[in-house]
Amino acid sequence: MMPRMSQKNQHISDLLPAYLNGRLDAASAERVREHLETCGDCRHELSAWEAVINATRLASASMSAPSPMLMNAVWAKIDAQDKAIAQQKSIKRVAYHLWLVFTRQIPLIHKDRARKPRTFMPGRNRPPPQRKQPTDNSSQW
Amino acid sequence: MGMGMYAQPVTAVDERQITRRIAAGDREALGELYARYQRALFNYLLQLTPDYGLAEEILQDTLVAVWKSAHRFEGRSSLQTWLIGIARRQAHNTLRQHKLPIADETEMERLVATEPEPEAFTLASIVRDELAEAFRQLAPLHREALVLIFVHELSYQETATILDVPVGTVKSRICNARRALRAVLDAREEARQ
Repeated sequence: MMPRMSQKNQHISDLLPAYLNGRLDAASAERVREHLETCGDCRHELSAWEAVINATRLASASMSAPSPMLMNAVWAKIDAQDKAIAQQKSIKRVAYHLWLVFTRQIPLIHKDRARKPRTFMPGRNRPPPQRKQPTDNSSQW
Repeated sequence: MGMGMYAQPVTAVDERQITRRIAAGDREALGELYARYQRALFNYLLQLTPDYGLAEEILQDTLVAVWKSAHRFEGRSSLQTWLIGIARRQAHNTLRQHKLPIADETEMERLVATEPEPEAFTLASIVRDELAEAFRQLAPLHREALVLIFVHELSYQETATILDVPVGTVKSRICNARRALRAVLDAREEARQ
């Protein structure tokens, strides 16, 4: 993207950070260079930004590095999370199997109940139908 | 693509390859990524918290998050921008969990923006050590913007993406950071007299 620079003689102070950072396109950078040759105010601004950059980079360079053992802690965290996920999956799998077993038992339970003779309570329900005893006709002969 | 003073130059193809390897569960690839970006990420995190131990904890969480979400990297931004974005989110989560203050951005912008720009702006004449010391006294919000632009050498657009603010805010933030730096130096000068 080309930053807007309407007039050659207009101050370019807002472009200076990007100019110093090498983030301006070639044409804009050239125009900034040309302007700096003739404008003392903008050269002063440029020096001020250079000082800010120096301060930032100097302070950053003197910062300490992270512990050399940091990756060990990272792997420990990753392994612990993987283990927890595996455990959760295992619990879910067991729960699912139990559910399957239970749901398969339901028709059997129903069947079993249907087979059971109901208890007769006088005045509340009818007595269960008496099964006819098979007649032993063999004795007649 | 900004390479900054820490990260070694890498091509977009390399970046996508390393994230694909991580997504496939290659532990060596995460180690390579860490070796390449550890200082850049750690330096960035130290701008958000002065606590070395906490910064290390956030860096660990950042790498765990990278391990889990490497498959989401599409190469739309540079790997460095993507990593700093993750580090920033992890930092904000951790700081919130520890109930540590996160700078009120709106208030910070308002306070600094009202300060007039000194006419005789002589930052360039101040010795580097003093400047670096003054930089350390800046608010995390200002240090963060300056480091992203001038150390990681990110563009305004990349910085705006990471900070989740418009490009105009990034520009005003680094100008405010410069004013704040001036104010710190003035205060030190006054204290000396």
